[in-house]
Amino acid sequence: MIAMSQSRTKRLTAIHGWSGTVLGILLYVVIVTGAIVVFDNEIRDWSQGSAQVENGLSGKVDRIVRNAARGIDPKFYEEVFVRPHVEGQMRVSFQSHQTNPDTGGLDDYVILLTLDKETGEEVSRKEGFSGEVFGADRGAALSRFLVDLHVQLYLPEPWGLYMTGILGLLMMAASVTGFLMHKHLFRDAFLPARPGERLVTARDRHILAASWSLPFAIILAFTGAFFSFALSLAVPVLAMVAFGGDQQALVETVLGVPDELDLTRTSLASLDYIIADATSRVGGAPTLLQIDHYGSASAMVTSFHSPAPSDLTRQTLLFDGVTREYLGVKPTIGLAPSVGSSLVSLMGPLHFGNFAGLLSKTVWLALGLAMAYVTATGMLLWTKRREEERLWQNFNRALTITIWGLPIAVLGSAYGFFFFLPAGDTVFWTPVAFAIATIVCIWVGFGKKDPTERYIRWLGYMSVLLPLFRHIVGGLSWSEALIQGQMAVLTIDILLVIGGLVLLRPLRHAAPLIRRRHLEPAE
Amino acid sequence: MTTRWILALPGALIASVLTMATMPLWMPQGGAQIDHIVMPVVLFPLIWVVFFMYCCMEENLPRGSLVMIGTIAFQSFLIVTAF
Repeated sequence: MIAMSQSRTKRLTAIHGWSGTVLGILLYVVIVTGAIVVFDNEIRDWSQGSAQVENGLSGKVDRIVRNAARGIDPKFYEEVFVRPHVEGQMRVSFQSHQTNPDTGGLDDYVILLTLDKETGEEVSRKEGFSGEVFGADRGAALSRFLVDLHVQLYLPEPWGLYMTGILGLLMMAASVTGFLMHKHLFRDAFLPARPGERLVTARDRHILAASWSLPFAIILAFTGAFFSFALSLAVPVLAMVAFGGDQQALVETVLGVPDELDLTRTSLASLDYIIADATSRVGGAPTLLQIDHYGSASAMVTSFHSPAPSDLTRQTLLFDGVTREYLGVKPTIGLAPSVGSSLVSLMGPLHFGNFAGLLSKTVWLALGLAMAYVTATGMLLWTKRREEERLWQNFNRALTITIWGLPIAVLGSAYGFFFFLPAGDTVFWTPVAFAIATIVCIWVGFGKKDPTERYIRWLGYMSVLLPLFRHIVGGLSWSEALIQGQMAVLTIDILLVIGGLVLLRPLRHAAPLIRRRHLEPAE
Repeated sequence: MTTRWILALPGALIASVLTMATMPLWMPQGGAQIDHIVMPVVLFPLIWVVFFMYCCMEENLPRGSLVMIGTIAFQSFLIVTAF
């Protein structure tokens, strides 16, 4: 509890309300999509309906990479990435830094090979700048679209990143002011809402959910603002001040590129030996292998591993690419351990919640949904107190459309994705389906007096029917998924059916948020 | 009231961007020689919150204006002299 003058408390209340309301609708979109994409990998596995991506590199990696490299122009040996793929396959990408004529900036030109893990036979080949190569993955179009919506609201770079960065700062402002004006934070965290359907009851529920999600909100807002602003704003600004505008020099300093490179052709050390060595040191196979300056005297091999059970961050080991000597643990950034590197390596796990597998991801999803509830109820309380004014009446309607329309549009994008997955351009049609569902929701929302009940029915039916639709258009059946160990298919299907059935219950049993229109002022 | 909002919104943003930009000029480089570049990037959201909350909480508005204008002017001077 922090003692404050009346004028300060009044000011904080105004800041808390305005920071949550101005751009609050966009903040709600970022929070809800953020909660969903915590399960980004699982959504990708579920939606593309193929066998599960293997957890680590194994097999005759060395022979396959060498064979693949023979058919590649050595100018693409600058960076080589080797990663596991679906059962029986692996992916090798050869990359070089080039100027992208479309953006005018430095970009990675990639030759991505999908290879048979046993024979090394080429299954597919893609070539182009990184955005074209990795963005054109039809099977991952749904998860990629949801991530793009969360990261930059599907706006062009850098404007989308600026927008989500500003939303992160606003969320920090709302969280910090909420903390400061909260007189009984710990008591309120354990106080049930007062009974009834009064305004004060809704406010109690808002405070209860906010009390529990407050630390989480501050962490997510901070790390989210960091991710949005780091590349879009901080790198250009710092490059201007400290490197005379040379962003490449800044990136090389931070990443720790050796001063002088010896590019004399030299045979690469055995990758199989390095993988075995790294696996024995860490206790698990690498999830990614990076080879810098492949086949040269300066070749270095970095192996990336999932976090150990007792660790927050992933483990990264460095090996000499010629002598196969183990050089030590590689910091996230720089060539030696540092405070900055430690802090940066914490940002990802804290934002994505991926440090303890499904358990931490589930907690992050639950807290994310609690934050979405806090944001939505906060805005509803704000508009309820101003419902006499026409402007706020319209805002309230826009709020209702967003609260229910967003999950409907997300499911709409999934329907669009599955419809075009067998023989269409999912990268194009997934966002189009989202846009169509959004337009329908807006049309219905402004056409009928209160669209809430209709939205809930739509959401319920769309959730229940999506697994069936996925199966009809050729997705994995449950028995196939079980045989292939693709648990994401079963889990997400079952969750969708359960969620849909909950929403289709008679509305008298529905959540308080749905019945908010019956709220009566109590003060 | 308008002055406070100008200070808290564009003022706090400008001051925090300038503070981030000048941090490499005085911050220790650390063992890996990168902390002076990385720490400003990591701390930027916190720097903004400090300026924003100061502008909101300061009871004496003329003093708050002076602090913010002084901060922006000083940081700008540091950047200009760094080139």
